[in-house]
Amino acid sequence: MPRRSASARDDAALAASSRRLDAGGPRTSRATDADMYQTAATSDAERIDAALRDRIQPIAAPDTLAGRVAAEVARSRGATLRRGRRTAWASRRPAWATALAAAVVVALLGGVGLAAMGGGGTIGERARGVGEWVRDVLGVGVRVGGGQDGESMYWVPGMGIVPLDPAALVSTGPVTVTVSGRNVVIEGFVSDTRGTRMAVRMVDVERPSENAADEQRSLTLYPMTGDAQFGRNDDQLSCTISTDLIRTQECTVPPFSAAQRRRGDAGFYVAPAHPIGNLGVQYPGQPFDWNPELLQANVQLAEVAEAGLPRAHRLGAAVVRGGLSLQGWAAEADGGRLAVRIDAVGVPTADYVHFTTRDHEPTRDIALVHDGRPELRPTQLFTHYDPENDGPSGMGFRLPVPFEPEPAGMVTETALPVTAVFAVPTDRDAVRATVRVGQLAWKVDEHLSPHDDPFEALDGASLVVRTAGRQIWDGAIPPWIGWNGLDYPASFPLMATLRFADASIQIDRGMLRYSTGDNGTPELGRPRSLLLNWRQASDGDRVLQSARVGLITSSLWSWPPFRRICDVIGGDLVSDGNGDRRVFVELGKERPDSVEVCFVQPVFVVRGPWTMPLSSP
Amino acid sequence: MTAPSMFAPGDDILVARTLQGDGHAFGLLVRRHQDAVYSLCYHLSGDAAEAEDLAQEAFLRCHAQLGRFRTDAPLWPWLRRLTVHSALNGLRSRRGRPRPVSLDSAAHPDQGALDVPADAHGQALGRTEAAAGAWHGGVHGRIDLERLLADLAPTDRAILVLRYLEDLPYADIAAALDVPVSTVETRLFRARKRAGELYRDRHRADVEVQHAATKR
Repeated sequence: MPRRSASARDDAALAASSRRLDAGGPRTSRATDADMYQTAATSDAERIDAALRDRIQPIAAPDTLAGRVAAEVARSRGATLRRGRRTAWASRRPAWATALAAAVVVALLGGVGLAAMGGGGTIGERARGVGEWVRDVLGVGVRVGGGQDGESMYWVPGMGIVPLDPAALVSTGPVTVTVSGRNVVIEGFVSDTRGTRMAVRMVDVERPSENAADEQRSLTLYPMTGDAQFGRNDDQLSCTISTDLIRTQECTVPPFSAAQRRRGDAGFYVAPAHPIGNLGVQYPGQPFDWNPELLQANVQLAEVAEAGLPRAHRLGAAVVRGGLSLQGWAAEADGGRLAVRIDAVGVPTADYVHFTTRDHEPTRDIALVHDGRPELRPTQLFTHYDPENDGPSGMGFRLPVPFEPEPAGMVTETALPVTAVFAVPTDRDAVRATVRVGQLAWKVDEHLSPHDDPFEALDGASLVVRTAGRQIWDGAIPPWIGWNGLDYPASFPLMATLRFADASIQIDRGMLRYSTGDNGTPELGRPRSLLLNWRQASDGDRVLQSARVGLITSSLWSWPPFRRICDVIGGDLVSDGNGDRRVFVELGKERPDSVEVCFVQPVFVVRGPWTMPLSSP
Repeated sequence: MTAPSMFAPGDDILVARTLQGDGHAFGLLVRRHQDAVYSLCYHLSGDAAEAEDLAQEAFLRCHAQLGRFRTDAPLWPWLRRLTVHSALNGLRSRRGRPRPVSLDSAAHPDQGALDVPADAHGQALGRTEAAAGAWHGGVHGRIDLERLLADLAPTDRAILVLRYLEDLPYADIAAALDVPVSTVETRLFRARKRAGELYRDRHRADVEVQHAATKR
């Protein structure tokens, strides 16, 4: 047998030790394979293995990477769109064809089509997808109550109803509107020759089963026919939804005529509203004046004609503030008045943008999480002058709450159209307009830290209050909500108090220690309990009214996101004064490092003025 | 990978939202996986700037091919495989071998890095002093892995990276690279053997230097 050279022996030993290292796993092999390091070769192998492992380490990505990717993705999409527009036909096509082509894209993006009317899912699910090219002024109004003497109504041109084709109109996304304290979400809107269908629901209703017959708690939608056919709810020309049905309701009214659609006046009835005063927009900390060359008079929210609404025309150049491109549009309504619209497109550096009066009067701190379903982007909302509070009009939009803040360098590819509508008497003196974009929100957990909150948890627990559009009604939970109260995409409360519907506490279970018993069963070093503490402040502030405690046991891969199952393990906890209660939490066999305790139906009352969270806790 | 926060949506949800056209969701995916993708690309290319290009390309491919992803499976193995293939293709298209990287600079960026990412963004994740010591082992124990890695073919380097960066078993490495397990074993053995040779060369040189110093 030929003698092997020293080098060959080293190689063989190296190979063997390497295999043993791998067989034992890279992290544990050294402890289990100590014997193989008795030779020089295995020592070499150890050094080599350690050196390679040390050399090949995770490296943090540069900060610019995400931005580069986002820009490239946006660029590639833009190129796709541009390629689609560079056809010879496209350059010669008439306006209606442009609209039709755009509508086709809308249909592709949003899955909306005439055929969709008969398909499954809600209208809102089908009628999404917005294109930046949508600039047609079409109106939608909401009327509260019945008859011509109903409460204030408003009209939102450009809210995102676009012509799908000459025979159909669709909405480009849900819109939340507020009328006399009632928030209405128009989830979807489709109108074709067969009818006009809307998916609508009312939100922020405290007592859903009460006063169902109260007319003022119902909401009637009237198609804007141009013939003043409002006030008739028994002829199938209108659609009434009531507050005892908080679920999304799809209602159908007769189709708009082809002439209406052609004229662009297909919408819903519009009624006089109240003066709004000057228009202003302010950016947080940096108020600035912006004259979009559109306001030649005091801006007043005035009656908007039912007549056909012409296409809006651009007013002046857009200005960019705080990441937003603000652009004014106007359309002549009637009687020498202008319907002024402000579009804000972009991603604001502030998480909330507020349009309000120029005099910077305190506004109602309205910050709606759009539709209570923060997974929807873009978020768009509209509020209007509230005669009860005699407050100015404000509108704004915000980024969805549960998501992480927009990373630096990222861009949102979808335009965020925000529309404010004012009718401007054109014969008034010119008034300089300012824009107020306000940051009206900050993180809730800054105010609801564990030490300040009505409850505290022991053992290093940290409080996480989720405020992303959940609402608990005072009354019994409607059965369709679901027993756990967590899955229902309820709306964000807009009431005198802010109520958090679900909260969770992450409890550090401490280090595992081993029992001194015979079986050596690992046990936790800390008790499996949670101390709830609440107090009744003299002013009624910050009260944990009630809660049941459970464990979040699983997350489902189901839509919408954040669905969790809260297994209730504790009885009702009722806050009847100062006190605390220790709740023992059965932790199961999984023995995770931490457990998440959820509260079912807790109601934390925090007196206003309140703020909304800017980002996920 | 950055662990999702308590309320952060899972990869499956972000994938679904991305497929629905939500660019923000894809941005979150990028942020969540960018360190892992970049690490792979960096160690495959040996160059920070090139790694960023490769990582960008990998994410773009991910975005383009996301519809093929089976949402009932974890995203990272799919993205990892896509990243490796994308990076290898990118390196082949550049017709060049990875630029050498100073091991000193990788372990100690303040000691004269060549192409190791700067401190601003290239801080090694999870590196420990003990690990650094295991590598250095004093002057005599230094191995010129710089040469080793630079000499390896891209695929062999990928095997090494997947082995030591991801702690992948042979079977998973083979699956990620579409090569047989035996190939992984062979190439890993060769790489280690080559490292051993380099170590011995270096050790011999160090000993000779020591002897010379003693004689003086």
